[in-house]
Amino acid sequence: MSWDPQAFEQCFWERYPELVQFLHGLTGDRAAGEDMAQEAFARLWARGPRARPGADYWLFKVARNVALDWLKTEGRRNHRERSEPTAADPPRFTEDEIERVRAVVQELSPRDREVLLLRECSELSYAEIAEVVGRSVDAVKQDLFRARERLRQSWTERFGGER
Amino acid sequence: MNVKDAFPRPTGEQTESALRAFALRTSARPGPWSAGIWKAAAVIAGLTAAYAAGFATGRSRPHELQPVIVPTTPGEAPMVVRPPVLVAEPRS
Repeated sequence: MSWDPQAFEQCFWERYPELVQFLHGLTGDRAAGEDMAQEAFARLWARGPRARPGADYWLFKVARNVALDWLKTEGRRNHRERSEPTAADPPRFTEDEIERVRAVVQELSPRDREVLLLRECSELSYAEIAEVVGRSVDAVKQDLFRARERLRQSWTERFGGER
Repeated sequence: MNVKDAFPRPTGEQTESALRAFALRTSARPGPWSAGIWKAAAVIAGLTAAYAAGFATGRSRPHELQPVIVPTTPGEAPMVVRPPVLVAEPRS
């Protein structure tokens, strides 16, 4: 039994952009994020339609594990060279501003970064984040609080009160 | 500016292109069920080959030896040499 192509395509359309955004933030590398999102979908495809009911969280879980492995092995070796702004970048902010935010986010630990991205970018609830990262809801709340504090602190140290 | 703006989502065009790339990738990769079927077939084939090899090389039951009648001088009863018979019995 295999996936109904239409159901899978719908799932891809719904989740691929979110996954890429999350993985880009987590790894600091857009191209690697896109590869990892593809890998997560390949694994979902291989699991077959029985994975459908929990596919959303399952995808984030798999993507997160792939990204954490990547961070362990690849590190952030060449991510600055490989991270190029895409054509999709909205022109609302200057490249300098975007780079500043990315740099500050990359200073966070992976543990803090993942909860921050899942909350701010993917807009998951605390319970959903807890499901993805395998921690309790309380732990997620603490991690998120700490991540925001560190982000604020790091921003102030680097750029002062400037936003 | 917030974190979300620093990591933009792919556009519809980029998502479509990724979907096309994904379709190419999965079409080249065998499905999960076919992989399972091939694995099961390989196991069955291996077991069959092992059984056939064992059957071909296995020892068959030896032919029973016939008693040998040794001719003797006329007037005497012929001497019959019977092969030994192994009888497994419980030791008392």
